[in-house]
Amino acid sequence: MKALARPGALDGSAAASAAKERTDSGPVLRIEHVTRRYGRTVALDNVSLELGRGIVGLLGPNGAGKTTLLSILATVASPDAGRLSVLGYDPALASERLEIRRRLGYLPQDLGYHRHFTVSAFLDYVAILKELTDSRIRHAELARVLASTDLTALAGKRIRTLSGGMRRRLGLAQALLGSPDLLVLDEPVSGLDPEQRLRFRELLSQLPGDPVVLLATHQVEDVTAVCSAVVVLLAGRVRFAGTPAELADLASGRVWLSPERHAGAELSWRAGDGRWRNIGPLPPAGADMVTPTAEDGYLVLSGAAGGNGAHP
Amino acid sequence: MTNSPVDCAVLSAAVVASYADGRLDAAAAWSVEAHLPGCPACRTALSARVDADRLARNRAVVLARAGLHDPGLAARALRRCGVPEHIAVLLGATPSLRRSWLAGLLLVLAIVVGATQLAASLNPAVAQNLGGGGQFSVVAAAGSARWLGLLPFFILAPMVPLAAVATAFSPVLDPAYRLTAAAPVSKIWLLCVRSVAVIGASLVPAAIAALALPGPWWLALALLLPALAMCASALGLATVVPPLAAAAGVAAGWTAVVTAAALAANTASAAFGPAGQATAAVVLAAAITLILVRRNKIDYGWMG
Repeated sequence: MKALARPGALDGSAAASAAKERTDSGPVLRIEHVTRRYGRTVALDNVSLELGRGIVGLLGPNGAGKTTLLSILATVASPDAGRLSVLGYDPALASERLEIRRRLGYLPQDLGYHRHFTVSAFLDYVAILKELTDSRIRHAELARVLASTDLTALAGKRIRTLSGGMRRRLGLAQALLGSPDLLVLDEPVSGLDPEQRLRFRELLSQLPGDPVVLLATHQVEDVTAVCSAVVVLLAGRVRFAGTPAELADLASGRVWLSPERHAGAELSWRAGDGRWRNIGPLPPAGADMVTPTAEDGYLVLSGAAGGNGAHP
Repeated sequence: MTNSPVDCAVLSAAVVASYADGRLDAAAAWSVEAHLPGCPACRTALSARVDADRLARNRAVVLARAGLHDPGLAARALRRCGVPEHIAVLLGATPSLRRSWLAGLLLVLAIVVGATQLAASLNPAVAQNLGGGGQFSVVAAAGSARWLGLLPFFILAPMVPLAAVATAFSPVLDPAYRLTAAAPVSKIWLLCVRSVAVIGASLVPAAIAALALPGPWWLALALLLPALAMCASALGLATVVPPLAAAAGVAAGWTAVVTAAALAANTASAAFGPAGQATAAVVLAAAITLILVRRNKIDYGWMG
């Protein structure tokens, strides 16, 4: 595996503090020409991105490279080529990788846990991995994240007896331990019911310390609701980076309503009021055009609704 | 907050306030608590001073602590030995320290020892040789290859700690591997702490099995150095290749060496003689040096 090139490497702690200062004015996450392969499969293909503070949504179909990108940002995997700056630190250097991990909350797509763990024991274990060794401080932190994810009443339950949604909340709880500066959340709302999803949005909105949040999801409406920026990955490449409103604008002039399914539509479905909502590149003359949503923009961008899959 | 007067001859408002704020020492707090059930005035004064948010936080901490399960036999034993609480919690989650793993390990060793005993009992010459002078050689009777019955034990017993180390650090066997990888905990520290614990735990059954063999008592000691050398070699190689590949490579190499030495000397224990012990010591020293030199290379996921 090829290590990242880093010209003019600085001394550990000096580099760390210097790097931290850089994020005050510049981007918090900088990804430059990152490529990652698994055998012959190219999961990330020359990806470059710059992201600032706020909540960033990562959209894309299965296999688009979202999980790979988040794994690299969470320092769980390394890129084959390219370089990164996370919170001003270079993960290619062991000392700076440690600084990233001290500021990181990570929810992987598959939350692994030992079979005998209760909710509290699991959080206790992760808190120790996060260097919270003082039991008084650690248990107070456990109580805080349990309360914020509404899991206090389940503290003594074995994880294997929890529902999928509860496990997802537990995953979120462990990511929040230590009030991280950077939250990397892979499918955080997967398995959550509508009320829990709303509570998740509320939780994200109330996070102390203005952390950077990067969340991968299939739920476009969650992105619209809470994210200040959105990135769309398709086949390992960044096809869009902008605001949810700009994503919606990609479908401008391509969404219309009709009493019957329109033959010119690439994608159409009957809405609750009985009318058909059509998405396509060629609306008929005099069509009842509607304001597109971010979901419409995503469908156009991904090629599912008449787009060419390329960002204009 | 000002201290309102308390209509009580025993406790002053200041003491009640200190108790409510958690500023009393343990003895004074117990005195207040003994007094409270019989004094409505003090209870009323105390209720007025209690911070609801703090109460809720305390309740949440109590519930969180109550949810911590029994740490298990290994963690309890470690705590009794003076191991810090957070290290005992980490080690309690190590697969090779858990009872089921140790039970399986004892079963395998019992089978190997039983087979060895059977081989010796079927060959009176071998049995007599073993039982006689305690000489450290398991010589086959003329024209017999029954001494090969001991070979599996000599291969497997020193490998038990190696297997324990591999399970302790293997991403495949650690379900929380990705969380561990993304955490700031030092991977070399975690690796060493887990390794020392599982080597200690697995050497005990291996030594008991060695004592059960029809041979000299110090056979158990002769297994120690090769076992430690293998564990250290696997850890050292884990700085270069993935941990499981490192452990598998060392296990394969050990099997080849012991078998080749046994065939060459026509003695199952040939690899455990003075030359074998000296070689194991050299390998152990080299492996420890490799670990120290490349300690920053031990990291989950991020290679470089």
